Amino acid sequence: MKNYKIILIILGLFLMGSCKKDFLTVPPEGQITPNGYYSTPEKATQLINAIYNNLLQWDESTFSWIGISSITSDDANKGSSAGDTGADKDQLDNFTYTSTDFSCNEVWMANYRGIARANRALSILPGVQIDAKLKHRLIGEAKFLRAYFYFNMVRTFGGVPLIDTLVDPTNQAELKKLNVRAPQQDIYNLIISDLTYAKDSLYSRSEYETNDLGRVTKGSAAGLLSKVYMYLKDWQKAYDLSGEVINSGEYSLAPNYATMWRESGNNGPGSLFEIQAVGGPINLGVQGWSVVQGVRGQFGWGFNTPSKSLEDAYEPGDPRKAATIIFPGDTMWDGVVIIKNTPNPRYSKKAYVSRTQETFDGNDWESNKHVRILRYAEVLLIHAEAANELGKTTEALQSLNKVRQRAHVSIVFTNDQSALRLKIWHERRVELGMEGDRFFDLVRQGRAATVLGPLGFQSPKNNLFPIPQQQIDISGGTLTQNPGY
Amino acid sequence: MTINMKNASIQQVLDEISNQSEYTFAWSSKFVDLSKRVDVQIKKNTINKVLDALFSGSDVHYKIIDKKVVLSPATKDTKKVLQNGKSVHGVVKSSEGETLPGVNVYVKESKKGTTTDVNGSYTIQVNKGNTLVFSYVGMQTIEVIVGDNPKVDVTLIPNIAQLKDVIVIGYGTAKKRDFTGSVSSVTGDKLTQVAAVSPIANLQGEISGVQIINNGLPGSAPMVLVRGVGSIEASINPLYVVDGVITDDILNLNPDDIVSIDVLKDASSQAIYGARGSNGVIMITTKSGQIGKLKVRYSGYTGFNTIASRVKMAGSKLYEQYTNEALRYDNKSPAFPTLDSTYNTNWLNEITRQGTIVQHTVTLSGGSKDVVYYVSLGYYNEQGILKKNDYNRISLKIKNEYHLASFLKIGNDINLSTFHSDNPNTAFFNEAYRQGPNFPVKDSLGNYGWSNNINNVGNPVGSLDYWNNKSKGYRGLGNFWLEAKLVKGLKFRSNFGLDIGISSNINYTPSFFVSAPQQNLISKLTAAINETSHYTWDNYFTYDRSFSGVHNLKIVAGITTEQFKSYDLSGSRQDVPPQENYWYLNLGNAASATNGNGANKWKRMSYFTRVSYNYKGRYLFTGTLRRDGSSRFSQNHHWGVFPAFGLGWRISEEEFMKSISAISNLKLRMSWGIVGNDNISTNAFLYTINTGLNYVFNQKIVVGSTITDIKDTNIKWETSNSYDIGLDFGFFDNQLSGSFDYYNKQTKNLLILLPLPAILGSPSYITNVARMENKGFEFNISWSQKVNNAFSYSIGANFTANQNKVLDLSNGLPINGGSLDNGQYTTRTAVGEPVGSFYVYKTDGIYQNQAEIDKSPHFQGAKPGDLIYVDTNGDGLLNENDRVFAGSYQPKFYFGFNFSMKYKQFDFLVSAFGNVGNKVYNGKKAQRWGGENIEASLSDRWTVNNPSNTTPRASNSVPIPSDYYIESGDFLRISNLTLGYTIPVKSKMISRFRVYVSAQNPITFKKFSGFNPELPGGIMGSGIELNPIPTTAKYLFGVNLSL
Repeated sequence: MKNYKIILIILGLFLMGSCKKDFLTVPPEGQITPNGYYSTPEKATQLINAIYNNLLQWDESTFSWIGISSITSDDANKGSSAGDTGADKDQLDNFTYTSTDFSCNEVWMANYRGIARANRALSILPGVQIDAKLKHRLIGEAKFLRAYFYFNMVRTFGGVPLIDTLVDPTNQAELKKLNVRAPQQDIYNLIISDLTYAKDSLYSRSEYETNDLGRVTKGSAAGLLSKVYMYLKDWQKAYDLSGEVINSGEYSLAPNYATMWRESGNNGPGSLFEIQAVGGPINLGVQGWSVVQGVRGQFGWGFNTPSKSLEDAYEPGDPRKAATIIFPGDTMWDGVVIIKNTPNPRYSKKAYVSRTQETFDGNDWESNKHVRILRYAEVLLIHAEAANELGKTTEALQSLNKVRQRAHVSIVFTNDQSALRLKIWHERRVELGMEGDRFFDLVRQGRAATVLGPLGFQSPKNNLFPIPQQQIDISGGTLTQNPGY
Repeated sequence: MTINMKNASIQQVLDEISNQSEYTFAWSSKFVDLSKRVDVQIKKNTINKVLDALFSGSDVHYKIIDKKVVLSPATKDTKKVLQNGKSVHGVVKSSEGETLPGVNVYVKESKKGTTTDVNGSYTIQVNKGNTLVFSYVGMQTIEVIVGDNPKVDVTLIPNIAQLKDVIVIGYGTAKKRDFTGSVSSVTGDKLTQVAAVSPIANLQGEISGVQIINNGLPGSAPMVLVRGVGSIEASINPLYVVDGVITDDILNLNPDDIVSIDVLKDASSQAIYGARGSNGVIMITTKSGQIGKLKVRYSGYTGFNTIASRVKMAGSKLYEQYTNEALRYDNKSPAFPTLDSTYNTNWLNEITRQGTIVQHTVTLSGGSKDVVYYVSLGYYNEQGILKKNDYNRISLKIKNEYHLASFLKIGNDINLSTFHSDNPNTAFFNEAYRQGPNFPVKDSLGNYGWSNNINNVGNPVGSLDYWNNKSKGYRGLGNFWLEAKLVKGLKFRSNFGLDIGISSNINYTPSFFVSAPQQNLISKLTAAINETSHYTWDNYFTYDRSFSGVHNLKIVAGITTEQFKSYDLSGSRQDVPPQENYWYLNLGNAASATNGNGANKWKRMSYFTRVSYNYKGRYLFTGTLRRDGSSRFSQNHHWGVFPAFGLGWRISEEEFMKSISAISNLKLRMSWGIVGNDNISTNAFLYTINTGLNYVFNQKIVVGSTITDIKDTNIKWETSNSYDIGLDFGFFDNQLSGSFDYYNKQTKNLLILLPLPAILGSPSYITNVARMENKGFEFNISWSQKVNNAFSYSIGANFTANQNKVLDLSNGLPINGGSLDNGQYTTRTAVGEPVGSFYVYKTDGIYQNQAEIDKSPHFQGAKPGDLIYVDTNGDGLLNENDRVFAGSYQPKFYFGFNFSMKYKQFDFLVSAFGNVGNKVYNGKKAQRWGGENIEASLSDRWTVNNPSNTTPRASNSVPIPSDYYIESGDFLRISNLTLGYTIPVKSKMISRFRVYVSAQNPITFKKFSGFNPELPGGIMGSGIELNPIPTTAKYLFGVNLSL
């Protein structure tokens, strides 16, 4: 009898052990699945914030992009100490890079990451039930940022795969079809259509709430679109759009060129698009941006140093030289003295972060530094260049001289279109020094071979950067290489 | 064994023999008197000689059966056989009153016998005055002299001693000789011969097919590979089963508490663990109490740690000369115009020390027929060679067994432990290697010295002083079980294993300034707590019967359920004061507070069954089937089925073999099976939102979120399909024994991070697309011999050759790895090569002049004195396509060797292990940035006056990954040298008192010019010495005391 009781108890235990059917279905702890998550204005906005977040990433905005957009130009040299290649910055400086170049691969991958985030937001937003005006604005922000990423890609590589929707990773056939380089013009067309939509749906700067300070605006879209048209040499449209920004009354030149770059100058009157950051007590900023360019031996690694050529380009008495270039031994605006025992003769001042007079908590990797992408002064110069090309000399001079007046240099009088063109191009160099435009300007202006030839530039090969070999390999050959690589 | 006792009772001597061996004694006190006092002095003899000596001239007769020694009175007239045989019958019962079928009953004098039937009864023809012997597995054998009474009933008492030839195989045990799979075991003293926190360290070099790579730092768990690298993305850790409870972490186990470790190496033995078994299963059995009086044991050791070998670095003069020279090649002026530095700082010495080690264990064990207990308290404290690195652990084990009724037993095994550690940062070894020697640790004002901008390396002593990272934790690992005998041969067991732990960690960086590259403005404290709980619940039946004495059948069937939960909470704040008693978040700046909180949970469920059958112990068969379900896969892919079978033929049991007495064991076995690996992260199949993608608007942080990762929703198990053929042999009564195994393991559906086209927005995703193969053979052999009464020795060796090869990587695209943290990679995992093979440029000497450079493809800026890189594909260009495969970190073969001997009172042991055929990458040398230190061997570098063809010129360029940095990883390490002395003690209390000295890792013979050829790391990037952690040698003095 006793035995049977025991047997029953044991069988009971045994049956307890064999559990329910859904024992193995465990909802994820601490992680959210997408179903129904993006259904409120706050959550929908998060989707867009994540696209902006791509701008903070090291591989999107820092070392690789600085290498490609700046170190390649005659405005800047590699910097750092002699033997420190920074992986490939010496090759970028000398135009000896090949298809396996590290920075090219990073730029390719980082921008497509941003594009994918934009595409995901654009696929989710239409189905979300929120206020129509907000929805349009959010879509506009996604499109603006997508256009910005594509603009980086097309200037760097030429035609690239045109992806404007979500891609199904399990559909191999579709992937193969999409991973093909579209013609350059198609990419530009996408950029134009995205920025046009953005221009219409984004709020103007004054329309935004205070808490949204830093979001892209109507003016940002119009300004960037005018720049795109400038690259395409569509002078009429460049003139019209830059004119829209000027006439909107939303923007003006900050009175002091030098203080624009400080924390106090963040989101100033001339700021159309700048990458935001906060330097503490909880840091979030563009990863490594000021460290990479900081004075070597004192603040950072010392890459992307201004060149002698840039130093000599400033007219005598142009205060913009001092605002752009740090010389060893200088006393900075916050009283800090730059060391003399440093390997390079010049450093970028626009990357300087004051540890004493600005928000600084020891974390220099994500400092308070905002990275200025598009400013009112450049819109004026685009306006000047477009107007000049259209023969509207007076208007061209007007816009050009506004910039020069702010810089306290003498205004320009010439009527000659070619001379004025050169003067505008010169102004771009000294106004936008060390802001990542010089190399692409030289290429679009057709001057790259003459100006950069002595530095190793080979024409026409180096007009475009090589498609990363790694990407060609992964594509199985559907991606074709640029000539010469 | 060595017995040295004076005026001890025979009983005491027998106890001592039990202690020193696996033999146990059985006698009927009615017939044998063991109170007689004797002096016994025997050194290093076999049991036979000891017993001969003990009982010579007495009236006690002994017989050894298995590992039991049966004592009986010597009959005066054993040769006389009485004429009148008669029938004797009776019933044999166990001490619980149960009748015992299958008990061997035989007449000692004639060896004729029978077995008890299902009711425990027997009938046998025997002469009066003869001896009837009753023997049964697991019971103490009894002998009875036949008198007038025709009924002889006997009660047999269980013998719970661990038998050396029994192995633990998952949900049960098996006799090694009846087992068809491939299992290797380590038992006894071997388990405590290496002083280490982890019991696994004791397996190094002991078991064929098992490679253990250990960097020797206290508190670190070694890398364990059973029959090669089995996976790429999923975990390669074997499964640990401690007394039947599955666990991942055995750092809390005190090696003194372990009685045996069995490693299941082939699919048929691993299949019982199905989806967890493919990386090998390590079964750990801890000690238990035994019926008998209280036994108290103490063992302990103390000693110190020290660096076993160093790499000679340049002195200040050479360093400054080299730095100047390198700058000159770059047309820069010399950094050190006068080579007059008065300092010669040896940074490695400055950050390391001789650390002390202490270990104590006290155990109490004993039992009666109602309760058996084993209690053990252990203390371990080790200071690592890196200053500040400490680890200490206290562990308590309470293991009891309660016999509630004749059919019901329950038990518990509770292991409680707590640890404290001061964790190391191995990057400091790297800093010490790279920093120049020409400035002091601190200057005359007490400030930390720095390199004055020559390089970007910090002051290693400063780094170490400002590093504070401590952990502590508690863990309870408990096993509660119930075992019931139901009907004849049928048992039920329920095992509930619970593993809960909580650990916390703090990391504090003070505010400090050493130099521009080495400073921290605001102090920061991060505190984290992690809680885990894990239970497994096994319920299974075991049916164990013999039919007609020749068919032996054992069936196991059951269910297991398992659940794991972990919980993490962390926070940080800035501006926390520097005194250690102020390291709490409350004392930091609230505006800087961050926090994080997450969790993880998974479950498993399995049905399993195993059938083992043998015919007369000669023909063996085992079949296993397991059905595993895991929550880590999507609903359609939860379940997998894992079958296996094994066959064996004990050739030595055949009649025709019995006459060849030299062969004591010959067994041929083969097995085949499928096992799985499901050890991937949870939610690998689910799309989840990434919520950490924040941005800033209006100078405030806002939350950003989106879906970023690409997931394979159909992700499934990795499966290994393997077969094994083996031969076990033993000659001369197993004096010479060993085994050969050949195995072939194919793993498919391997998870890899498949590179994706960038247009998907994510660089890669995990999916099952790869295939890999490991095949090889293992050989182990041991020989023991007693030369004479004073001297005996044994030698053992094992040898494994394994070949690993990647067979398929989906679209065949290779994966690069082995990053040197300077943008360079050194390994490539590709089809046709071992995982993580080195893939670098090929070099061929040094350019002696410009003309040579101009003639061949070269890198931009090549100068005379630079390495010649070979354009291997002959296309006139020097680029990534010229890289070649240059060996692997996986050795062609690895081996272990041990030799032990006993001479009178002394015992001596030496063991060694090593690798042959593996390569290592001297990563730290290949990672050099400008201005950093160099090895002393670079004094022979190329200069115009010293046209070396082996050592390139001084240069500040970042080196290119090439075979110049690949070196042979062959090594032979003497892992243990121990000399012990058993002190002859007169006291009745003390049954054994041994002292010993031991040296661990004292010598390593290696070809590698770096610090340590043992370089654990990630699967695709091992064998790279980046953080040069020197080999630690330990010198110890220890005591074993038994009361």
